[in-house]
Amino acid sequence: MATNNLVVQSHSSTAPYGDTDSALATPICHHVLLNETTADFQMSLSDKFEDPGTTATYVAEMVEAFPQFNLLRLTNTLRRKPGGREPSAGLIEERSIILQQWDGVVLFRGKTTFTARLYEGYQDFPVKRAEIEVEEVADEQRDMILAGAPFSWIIGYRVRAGTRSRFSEIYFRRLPAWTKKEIEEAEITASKLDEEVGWTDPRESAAG
Amino acid sequence: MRKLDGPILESPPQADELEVSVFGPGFGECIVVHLTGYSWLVIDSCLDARTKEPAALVYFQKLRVDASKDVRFVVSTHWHNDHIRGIGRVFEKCEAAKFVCAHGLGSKEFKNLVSLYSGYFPSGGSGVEEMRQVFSSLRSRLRGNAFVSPEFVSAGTILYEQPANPQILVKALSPSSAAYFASIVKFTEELIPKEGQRRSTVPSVEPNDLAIVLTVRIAGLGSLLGADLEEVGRSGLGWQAVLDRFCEIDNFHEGIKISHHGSETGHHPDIWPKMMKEDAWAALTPYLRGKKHLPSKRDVKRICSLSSNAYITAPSSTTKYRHPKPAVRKQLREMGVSIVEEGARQGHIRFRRRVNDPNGEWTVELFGNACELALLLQSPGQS
Repeated sequence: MATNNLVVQSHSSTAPYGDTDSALATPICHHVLLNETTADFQMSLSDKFEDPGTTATYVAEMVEAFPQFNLLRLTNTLRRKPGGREPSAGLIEERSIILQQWDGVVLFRGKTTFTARLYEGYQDFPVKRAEIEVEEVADEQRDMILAGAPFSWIIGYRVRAGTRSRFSEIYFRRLPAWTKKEIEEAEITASKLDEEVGWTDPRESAAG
Repeated sequence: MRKLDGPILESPPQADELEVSVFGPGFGECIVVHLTGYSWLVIDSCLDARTKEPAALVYFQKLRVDASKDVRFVVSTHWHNDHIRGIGRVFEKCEAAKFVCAHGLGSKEFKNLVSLYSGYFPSGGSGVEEMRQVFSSLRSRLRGNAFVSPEFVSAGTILYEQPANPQILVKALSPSSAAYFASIVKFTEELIPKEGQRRSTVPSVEPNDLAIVLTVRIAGLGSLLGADLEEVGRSGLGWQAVLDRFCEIDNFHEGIKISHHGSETGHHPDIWPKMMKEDAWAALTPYLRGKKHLPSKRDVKRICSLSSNAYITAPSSTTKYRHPKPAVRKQLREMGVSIVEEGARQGHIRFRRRVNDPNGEWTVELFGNACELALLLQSPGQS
């Protein structure tokens, strides 16, 4: 099986990004390997990529599946010559220094602003709340600003071609829709809970 | 009512001393009741701003109360995020306690909901995540412990009754049967996702029809603990349902935990004349609902006109947040974004009274940011 090595910058709360302090001016990259022996993400990706297809397919599907990642470099390890340099895929390399990363949930949307809760992990406390201009979100994502919608917000520096600029990136996660399988599995889990805990629906108790 | 100066938080109540402690906001509220005889009741949960541990557990530790043995009930009045934060840890620690929740939470619709959303959003302080932790504790207690199923309550359920020495009654005054069926419809139609529906966090359900209002009466001294029950004028639901059924028998309460952070919707004009003693004490916690701070100045005026012994756990539920990194502060300033912290300012109101002393009176002690409610009328802001 072909091994394609996607180097993505970890902008996700689920991916480790290490110390985000600006003093450590090293971008943390996360290698996603799509082959039979790679442990990382293998389980989650195997469902999504049944047919490995072409490199371009990988890129397209990766971007679709993990919109929160920024693609930095793409390397096809099969094409790498022993001792040689990694071939460039032609993308401009840049790195980011993350100063702050929040997971957000929209509480409500107004005409020009939306209000959201911001978290740095489940145990984060006190919880933060911010009112943000809608125009801070990319045009194509503004329809996703709905109550309950999760998003990522990163503030940092971007180093590109020797220049450094401060950035704020708000990214709404284009989450997959609920599937019939998930809904059915939840019903089974709920039934198991009844059996294990002996916790029955009050309507059934009343009937019995 | 006597206000104690220089209160000592760590001093435990006497065996015959009734206590009602209200903690908040801490992103929500929590009430702890000493039922006398060293047994306790915990209602809802919020986190202690300093330790990030559940406020009830931090308090028990300070009083040297053995939470694993002395807490009889952990009540989740409703599963809104602002009342449930940390309740999973509270229940895990209170090993001898029964978990009490509304009837609707035993429905298969609610269990489906928990199964669907559990672990899906690790961030967000989801109430579902707390309930999953409660389920987990219940499951672990299956081995050799009789307390397996939660205690599902509805209006009229007696949680605890002691006939004498002293006489104790803990009774639920809500949710009504109508609220139960309304909640099932809401779970099905609004909360449980349909196939093909886009994912989001679990939406909040308003109004709080399933909220459990409790009356705790010890040696005739009643406290009405209003949870977040609201009154929006629908037949069979809200405070009207409580008044219709219980105002003739459960009245003359000496104190009240004001419902729904003192909001207009948490108020019913008949609660005070029909269920409270004259000039009963009142306690509440603040909350930021949408863009509105609760209680509003109008709410404060209303509550202060009903009780001269009204207290709030903190003047406001939020404080301005200053990011530690200058570059982030600069970025936020340029974007015109201001960030507030919810629950950073916390307080604790403690009411106590000896039940065996016929001439006894209530005492009140204020800790942290807690203050007299009337003070809010003197400060600008909160319109």
